[in-house]
Formats: sequence, C-alpha cells, structure tokens
Amino acid sequence: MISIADLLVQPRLPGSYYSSQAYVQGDLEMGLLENRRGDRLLAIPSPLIEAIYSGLQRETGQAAGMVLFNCGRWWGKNFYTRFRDEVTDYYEKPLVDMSMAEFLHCLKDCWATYGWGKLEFDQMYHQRGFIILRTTNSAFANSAPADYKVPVCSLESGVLSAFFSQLVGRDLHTIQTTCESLGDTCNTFIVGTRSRLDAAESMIEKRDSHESIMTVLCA
Amino acid sequence: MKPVIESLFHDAETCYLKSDEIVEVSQYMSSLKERTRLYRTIRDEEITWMQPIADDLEQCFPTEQIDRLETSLRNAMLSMRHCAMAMLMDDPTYLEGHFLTWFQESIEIHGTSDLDNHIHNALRKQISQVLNTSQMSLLTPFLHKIESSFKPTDVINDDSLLTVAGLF
Repeated sequence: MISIADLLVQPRLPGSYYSSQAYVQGDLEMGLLENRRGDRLLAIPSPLIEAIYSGLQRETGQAAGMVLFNCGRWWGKNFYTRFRDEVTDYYEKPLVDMSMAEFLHCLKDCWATYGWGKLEFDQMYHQRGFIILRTTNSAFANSAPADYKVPVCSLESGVLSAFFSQLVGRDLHTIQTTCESLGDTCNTFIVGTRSRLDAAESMIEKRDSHESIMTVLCA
Repeated sequence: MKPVIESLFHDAETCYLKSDEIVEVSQYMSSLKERTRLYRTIRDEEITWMQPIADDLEQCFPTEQIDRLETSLRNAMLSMRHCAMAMLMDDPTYLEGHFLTWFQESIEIHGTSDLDNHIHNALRKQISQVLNTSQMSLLTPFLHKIESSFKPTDVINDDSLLTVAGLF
C-alpha cells in the first residue's frame, strides 16, 4: 500500500530544478547573482565574448580555436562537477542511475537557463559510438567575427567534450560540423573518441556537410 | 504576484495609477484573504485528499509498477502545490515559468499520461466536494492548465538508452 505521508518524508517534491525563474536568484544590495544553492553566478556581456575572439585571433592567429577549445575543456570539467552535484543533491539519485531521458531533460534546462541557447540531442548515431548535439541561439556563434570561415563554437565544443568525458569515464573529443555563424540553422556537435573523429577534421575545413561527414565516420 | 500589478509598482516615477489600475489592485487585495484561506486549506489537506486517491490508484492499475504510481502521485502533489501558489499570487503566467514545461516533458519521458490524468480527475472530484464555488473558481483556471498537459504520448522505451551508464 502506498503511503502519501511516506512520499512526503523528503524535504521536497523534486520538480524543475533548472527552471530559470527559480534557479537564478540575486541579492541586489550585495551585488550578487546566485543560483538556488547560493553558488555565485557570473554574467558575461556580449562585448566581452567579442573581445575574447578578436583578442585571441590577434594574439594566436589560427590557434585561437584550439585555445578556446582547451578553455572549454577546463570549464566543462567544472561545469560537469557542479551539474552532477546539483542534480544528485536535488533528485537524490546518482547521475549514472538516471534514465537518459531524465538526464537530457536536466541538461537541456540547465543549458537554456545558463543562457547558452537551446540544446537538442540526436540519438541516431548512438549505436555507432557518436553523440550528436544541436544548439541554437549560441552566444558564442552570435558574437564571433564574421570573417571566420570555419565553425566557431570551440569553447562549447571543449565544454561538451569534457562534460561527456567525465560523464562516461572515457576520454572523448568533440567536433563541430555546422555553425550559426556560417548561416546554418543550428550548431551541430559530434562527440566521440578522438581517434574516430580525426578523419572529420579536414572535411570540416573544406566545409563538407554534416551528413557526408557522418557517412565517412560511420563507414 | 500578479504580473500586471507587479509592473505597476515599478512605474511610480512615471505617474500615479489610473483609476482602472487602482481598481485592479483593489480587487486583488480584497481577494487576498480568500486566496490565503484557500491556500491554507490546500496545504493542510494535502495528505487527507491524496491518500484515498493513492488507494484507489493501486486498485485501478493493479499491474502497474509501484514506482511509476509513486512518481505520478508525487507529480500530482507537486502540480497542486504550484497551482496553489499561482492562485495565491493570482499569477496566470506562474505555471508556465515554474512547472508546466517540465511537467509535460516528465509525462512524456515516463509515459504516465493515463496515470496522471486518472489522479487529476480523482483529485478534481475530491476537492470539488470540499471547496465552495467561489474557491473552485479561484483554483479552476490553474487546474485547466495542468489538464492541458495530459496528452497521450508514446513511452520513450529504448533500452539502449536506459541509463546514463549505458552511454558508449
């Protein structure tokens, strides 16, 4: 027999942890922006992102993408740790025991509430060892210089690479095949092992389509 | 708080409130006592209302897994808590911002539309016997929004994606 009183033993009925209206809180008198656990949040204005792109381009030239990717890897490690702690605490369930649907539900809400845009997951190539993620309204794609000829969301690629590496306990890499900054409707990322993604690097530089890249990767 | 009224509070530097705006504030303030009383009733009766529904649910869905029944009962209580808060603040946008999108996706993920619909109908029946007409009219707009979430959906049932641990 189900006891309602027993269902209410926990301090809360878990709902939408990353609901933007509940997650982002502020103390204007103290000048603080915080999440619902009291961890400090930092808002980054678009001019800063534009300046990071142009500064890196001037200082490091073609290595700018790699620098951003490595920054994203570092950021992604911390992002994963915070995401895991928050979700585990709130839903009282280890991340690895969550169903994929529940996990993605949280990640999508988190991504949107952090102002990183809308995240979609495509499981079509999961059985072939690749995760496909699509984002729209990326702040990084929108703030990149117009003269980049390749996908520019290197920071997000790094974040996703570190995030999924930590999640599954394997060293994973991420490449980007489409980009809003190049007129595509979304930013498409492929997450997989580095050795299997290497073949796609030159195809991305030649601006081959996502579909043709996937065909080569899965061959 | 009701968004229209909240926006009025930020407009003091522009002008005094117009007559119709004062009427709106006044109507909200005069209804607050009734809203507070109703909120307190919903809060205090949560277990009393839900226990018979839980008992009935087990009989109506005897082959259903207990944890799925419990998930739906928790979500029903959660939806009632959000409805009560939205009613207290008289905020028609509250549910969209805090709960509805998450709830709809949760129903889709767990494929519990039938269970959720059954619980909600039973809860509706239960509270309509206890609350008076005026109280029901305060709560009904928000219950309607919850009802709109119950669309039959296919259960996401791909075993290969059962847990995060199964990735790669």
